[in-house]
Amino acid sequence: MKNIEDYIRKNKHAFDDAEPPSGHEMRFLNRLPKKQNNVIKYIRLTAVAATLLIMTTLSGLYIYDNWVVSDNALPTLADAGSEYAEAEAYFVSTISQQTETINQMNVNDPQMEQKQFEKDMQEMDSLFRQLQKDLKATPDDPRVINAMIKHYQIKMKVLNQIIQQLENANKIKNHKTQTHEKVSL
Amino acid sequence: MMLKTIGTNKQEKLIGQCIKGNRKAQFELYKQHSKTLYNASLRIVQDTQEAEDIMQEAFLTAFEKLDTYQGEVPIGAWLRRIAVNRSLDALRKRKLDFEVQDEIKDEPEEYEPEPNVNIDIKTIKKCVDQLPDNYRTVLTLYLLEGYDHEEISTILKISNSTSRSQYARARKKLQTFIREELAQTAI
Repeated sequence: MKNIEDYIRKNKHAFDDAEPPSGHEMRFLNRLPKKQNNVIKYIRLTAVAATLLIMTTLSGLYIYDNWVVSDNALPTLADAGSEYAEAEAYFVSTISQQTETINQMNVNDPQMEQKQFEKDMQEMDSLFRQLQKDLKATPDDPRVINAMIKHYQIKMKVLNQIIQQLENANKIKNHKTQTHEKVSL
Repeated sequence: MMLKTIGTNKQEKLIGQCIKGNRKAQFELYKQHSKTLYNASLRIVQDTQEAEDIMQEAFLTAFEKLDTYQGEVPIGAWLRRIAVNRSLDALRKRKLDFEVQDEIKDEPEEYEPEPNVNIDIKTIKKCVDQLPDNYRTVLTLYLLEGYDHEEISTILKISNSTSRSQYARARKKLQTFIREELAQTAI
């Protein structure tokens, strides 16, 4: 009965003649996942990407403004003109001498609040950085130039006062130890 | 040749869109193959509602893993395989045992008159549908789905020889049905 097998094989398609129950296409469309999911996914992804981009840009700008630009690209008083360059050179060298002196005295005197001093200095530096930015924005503005000079002068004054106070403290201390020594002798 | 290439490209495009989740493309593929998948399933489960359900589920599964389709077989055959597998799972849930039931011990081959080659294919189809589940399944897989006994034994989790003997019995039963059918129409 090989014939039957061949006959069935040859007429395969006749076996696929049953029609699916009516309405099957609508039922299938209802089961088919909505494409909306993809759109929502896409929007979400875009939102995340945009947020990331904004955050990176902002933090990048912040870092650039506060760390990269600060010391290298910003103009100083010397850039306002050659007559100011000499003055600034004087200010800077004086201030660095004063700072050196204070640091040395600090070694002798642990009572000095080193941290507070450093903090104050940093605060003054950041104020000066702001002035530098102003100078970059409006070069040759006499108000900014004057403010820079004043800043250097005030800084020198403050450092001088600190040195005075430290010297006074040392004197008292030395006196005390001397009297103590005398008593003990 | 030219036409065939164009057709394949079109098909590839359609499949690509289905992978991307394009509902229109997915519905298009459904319209192209739902009937054959439905018939393949219906022959196994013999229930119109269940066959529709299985056919549609087969499509939904297919869309999920369409990216694994390598194109080594036509997409229609690939889809059909999923539908056939799901239909067999449904049969198994009905606790159908594909293992050989030995009530028919190898009977001596009786003389079988060649049936008239002009038998209506509808008659044969009717007779196939009348076969018991396990016989009909093996016969369908072998003759219509083109599985060989190795594949049938794997898919039904039976031995190769069981598949062969099941098929032989199914064929014998089918002959009997056809002869009965012919005798009736003759009267």
